[in-house]
Amino acid sequence: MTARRPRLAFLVLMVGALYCLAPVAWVVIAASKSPRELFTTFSFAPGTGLPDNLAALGTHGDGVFWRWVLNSLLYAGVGGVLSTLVSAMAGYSLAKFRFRGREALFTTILAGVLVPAVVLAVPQYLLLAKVGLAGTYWSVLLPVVINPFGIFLCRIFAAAAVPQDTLEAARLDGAGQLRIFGVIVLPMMVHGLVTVFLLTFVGIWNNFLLPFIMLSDQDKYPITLGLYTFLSQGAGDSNLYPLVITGSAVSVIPLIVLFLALQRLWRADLLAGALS
Amino acid sequence: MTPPRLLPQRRLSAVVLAIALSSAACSSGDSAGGGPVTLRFWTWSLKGPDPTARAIVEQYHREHPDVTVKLSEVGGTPDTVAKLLAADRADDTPDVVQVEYRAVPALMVAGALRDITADVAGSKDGVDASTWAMTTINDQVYGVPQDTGPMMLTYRKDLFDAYGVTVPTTWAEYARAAEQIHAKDPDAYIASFDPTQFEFFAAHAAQAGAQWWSTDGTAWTVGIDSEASLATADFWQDLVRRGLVKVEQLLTPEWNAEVASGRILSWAAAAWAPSVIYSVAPDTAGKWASAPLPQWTPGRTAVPFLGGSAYLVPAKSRHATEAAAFAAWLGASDEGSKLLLGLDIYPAGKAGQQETLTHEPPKLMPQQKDFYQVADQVVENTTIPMTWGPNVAMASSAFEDPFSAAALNGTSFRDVYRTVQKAVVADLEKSGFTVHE
Amino acid sequence: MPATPRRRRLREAGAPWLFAAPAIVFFALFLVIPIGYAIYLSFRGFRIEGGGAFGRRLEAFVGLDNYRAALTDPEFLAGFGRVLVFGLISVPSVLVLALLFALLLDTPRVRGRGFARIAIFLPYAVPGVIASLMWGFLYLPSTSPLNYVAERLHAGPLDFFSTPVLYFSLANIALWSAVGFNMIIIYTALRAIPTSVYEAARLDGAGELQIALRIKIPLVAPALVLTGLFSVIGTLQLYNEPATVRPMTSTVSHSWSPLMEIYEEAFTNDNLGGAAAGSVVLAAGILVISLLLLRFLQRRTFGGNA
Repeated sequence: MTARRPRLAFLVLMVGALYCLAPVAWVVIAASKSPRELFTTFSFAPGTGLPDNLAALGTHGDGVFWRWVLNSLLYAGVGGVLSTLVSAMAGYSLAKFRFRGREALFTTILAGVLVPAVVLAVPQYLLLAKVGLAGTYWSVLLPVVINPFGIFLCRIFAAAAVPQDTLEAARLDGAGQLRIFGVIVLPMMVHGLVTVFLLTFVGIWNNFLLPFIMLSDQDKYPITLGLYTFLSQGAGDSNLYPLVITGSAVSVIPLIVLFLALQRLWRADLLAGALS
Repeated sequence: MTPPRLLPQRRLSAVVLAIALSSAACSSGDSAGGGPVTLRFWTWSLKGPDPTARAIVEQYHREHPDVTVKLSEVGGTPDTVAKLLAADRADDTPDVVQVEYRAVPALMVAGALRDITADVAGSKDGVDASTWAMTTINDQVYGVPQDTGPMMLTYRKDLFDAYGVTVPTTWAEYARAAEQIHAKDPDAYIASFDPTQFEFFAAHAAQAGAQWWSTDGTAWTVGIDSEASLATADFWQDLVRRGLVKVEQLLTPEWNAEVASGRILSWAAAAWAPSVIYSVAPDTAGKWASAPLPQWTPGRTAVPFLGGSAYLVPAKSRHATEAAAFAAWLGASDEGSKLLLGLDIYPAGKAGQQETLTHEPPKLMPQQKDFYQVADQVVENTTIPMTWGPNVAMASSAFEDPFSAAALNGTSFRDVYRTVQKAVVADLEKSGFTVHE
Repeated sequence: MPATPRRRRLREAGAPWLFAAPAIVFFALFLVIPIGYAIYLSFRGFRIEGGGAFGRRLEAFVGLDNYRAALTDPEFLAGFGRVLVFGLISVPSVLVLALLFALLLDTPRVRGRGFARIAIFLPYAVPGVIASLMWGFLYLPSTSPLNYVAERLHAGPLDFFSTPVLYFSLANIALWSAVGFNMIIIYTALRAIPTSVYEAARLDGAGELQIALRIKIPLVAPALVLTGLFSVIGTLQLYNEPATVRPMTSTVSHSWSPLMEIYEEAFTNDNLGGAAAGSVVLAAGILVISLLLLRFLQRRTFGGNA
C-alpha cells in the first residue's frame, strides 16, 4: 500500500475541475459587469457593477425574481421528491422481484424515453387543459413525476445496494411488502436516492420547455422562464442582458447549497455495505 | 403485527385527484355582460413589473372600474403565436394578444382570431390608414395597431464625419459610403449583414417595388423572384462579395462588441433601433444620428415599415367585447397612444405620434433634437404597405438557411431567392391555396 | 395473524405491480396518452377550406403524407448523418471522462475530492437560458478569451463555427454540460460497492489502478451501460447544443439535427402532424439502435439479479 497521496489523480481532477469551472466563472464575472462594460472589456476581467446588478435583479418589478425563485423551489422540491419516490418504488420492483412481464415493463418504460419532450409538450398541454389544470401549478408538477431515467437508475441502485438474502430473510419473517420497502430497502438505497433526487431536482429546476408550454401567468413562472422574458422580445426591444446573466448566476446558488447538503450522505457508505 | 402504514404516495394521489376535480369545477366562468371582468393580456411591451405599464393598466381600470387587465409576458412573436395556437386548440385563450404584423394573416387563417371590425369601427380614425390596413384582411379588422417601425438609418455621425463620408440618400451612395469606410479602416464596416433578417429583406424588396406576397382576394401571388426583388438581392450580393459589409447575426456578443467599439457604423432599421443600440453600447451615446432610409431612386421618399405590433382578440376569448374595447383604447385613442409613448415605442396612434414631436430624443442621440420630426416625416411621406401571406413563418425559415449558406460561401443570392420562391409557392399550394403563376 | 400460504403467494405475486403502480399510472397519463395522441396527429394535417385567399385551415385526415414528407426530406435525413458524426465524437468522450473522474474521485485519500466533485457537477446546474450568451461570448472572436490568447500568439482569429471545427465546438458544449451528470451516476454506483470487496485485493498487494480496472469497472458496468445507452439516445435526440449555437452563427441551419427540424415544424410552422410523423420516424430509428445495444449488453448487466 502506497503511503503517498495519489498525486496524479489529484492533478487530473483539478484540470477537470478547472475545465468545468471556467465557463461558470465567466457567468459570475459577467454578472459583475455593468451594461457598458459587458461588451467592451475582456471576458474574464471583473467588472464594477455587481452590487448594481444584484440590486436591479432584486427590485425589478417589485421583486418578481424572488417569486420565480420560490416557484422553482416548489416545482423542483415537490416534483423531485414525488419523482424520486415513484422511481424508487418502480426501480425496486424491477430489480428485486422476478415476475412475468418484468422485461416487457422495462422495455415499455424505455420506449418512453424515445419520444422527445418537444413532441409530448403540446399533447400534454391539451390533456391537462381538458381537465382544467393547464396553467396551474399542477401542470408543471405532475408531468415531471414520471422519469424513466430515474426508474432505470433506481433499478441499478436497488440491485446493487440491496442483497437478496436480506430480502428473503425479511419475507420469510412475514414482514409486509410495504414495511420491507420502507424500513429495509429505502435506507439501503439512500445513496442512489440522493443521487436521483439531486439529478431530478436540478433537471426540473432548469427545465424550460414544460413550463413554457403550460404557463402563461407570470406569477407562476420558474426562474428559467422568467429570465427568458428578460431577453429581447419584439424587434426593437432592448435586452436586459445584465439581469439575465445575474439572474442565472444567482439561480445556481441554491443548487450548490443542495449539492453540499446532500453530499454528506455520500460519505456514510461504510455502514451501507456492511451486510456481506 | 401492526398492519403496514399506507405509504404517503397513495394518499397523495388521492389528494391530487380531488384537487384536480375541484379546481376543474371552480374554473372561472364567463361573465355575460355586467359584473367585473378580468382580461388576460399577453404582451411583451407592457411588462408586468414595469411601473409605466402598470400605470396604464390602472388608468384604464379607473375609467372602467369593471375591467381589470392582467399582464403576462409569454415571449416574442414566434412564442406568442405558438402558445396562442395551442391555447386555441385547448379552448383556453387569453383575451388580448400582442403580435407583430407579419403574424396576423397566419393567425387569421388558423381561425384563431376574432373579427372585431364592428367593435373597433369607432377608433379607425385614430390611426393612420396605411397602418390600420396592416391588421385588416378582406375588409375585416382583426387587430388594433400598437406601434409602427418607420424605417430609418441609424449611423455613427462622428465616425462618418471622421472618414469624410456623407449620409447616403440613395442605395448607390450607400454602397459608395461602404467602400470609403472600409478603405479608410479595414476593420470597420458600414453595417453588418444578417442573412436571417427575413423581414428586413422583404421590406427592402418592397421599397424597390416588389411585394413578396400579394393577393386579389381569391388567389395569392408570390413575388420573391420578381425582377425588382432580384435586383435587391444583387445589391447585397455585391456588397457581400466585396467584403464591404460584415456577415454576422445581429445582437450577438460579437456584434454588440463591434458596435460598442465603432467597427460597425450603422444599422438600417427603424425608429426603435436607438434604444436597442443604447442597451448594448451606452457609452456611445451622443455619437449617433438618424436619417431617412436611402432610396432606390433619387428624389423619392417611399419607405416601408419594419416591425411593429398590434393587439388582437382571440376567437375563443370569453370577454371579447371588453377586450376589443381595451385594445381600441390602448392603440387608437388619444389617451392610450400617448401613454404608450412612455414605454419607449413609436405609437401607431395619431395622437401619440403627434406627441412625439415634443418628446425628448432617444438616449442614444440626445443631440439630435429633430429625431422625431424625421420619424414623423417618414410616416407622413411614405409607407409602402407590406402584405404578408399566411405562411410567413415557413418562408422565413426556408429563407434563412440557404441565404446564410450563400452569404458565407459567396454563392448566388438570386438562386436563393428563386429557391425560396418555389418553396413558398409549393407550401401555399400544399395547404390548398390557389397561387397565380 | 399469520397470512395463509395462498394469501401470501397472491400478495407476493401482486407486490411488484403494487410498487410499479404509481409509475405505471403516471406513465400512462403523461407518456402513453400524449404519444398516442401524437401518433394520431401524425396522420392529420391542415388543409384550407372555404376558398379564396383567406380560407380557414382545418384539420383533416391526410394519410401517410406526413410520413412521406419526413422520409423524403433530404434535410431531415442529412440531420441524422450530422448527429451520428457528432455522436461519434461526443459519446465516447463523455463516457470516458465521466468514468475517469468518477474513478479518480473514488481513489482513497485523493485530495480535493469535495472541491472537484462540486466543480465538475456545476455545469449541469447552469440554466440553459444563458447558454447561448455564454458560449457566444466564449466562442465569438471579439469576446472570446481563447481568441484573445490566440491573437497574442499570432495564431489568428479562431473560428469555432466553421464546418469541421463546428462538430468539436458542439461536442465540447455537450461534454462540458454532461460529464458532471454522468460522473455523479457512475460515482454513486462506485460508492455503493462495499469496501470489503476490495480488501481481499488490497491484501494481495493490488495497486489502485489494478483494482480500478479489474474490480471497479466491471462492478459498475450496469451504470456504464445505462449512461452509455442514454447518451446515445440523447445524441440522436440532439437539440440543445446546435440550438444554443444557432443565434450566434449562420453555419447552423434550422434543420441541423432531426429534432431541430421537428421543433421547427411543431412550433414555427404550426405543423403538428408533420412534427409527429418526424418524431415517429426518429423514435423508430432510436428504438432499433437502442434495442440492439441493449440486447447486446443485457446479459452482462441485469442478468444476475433477483
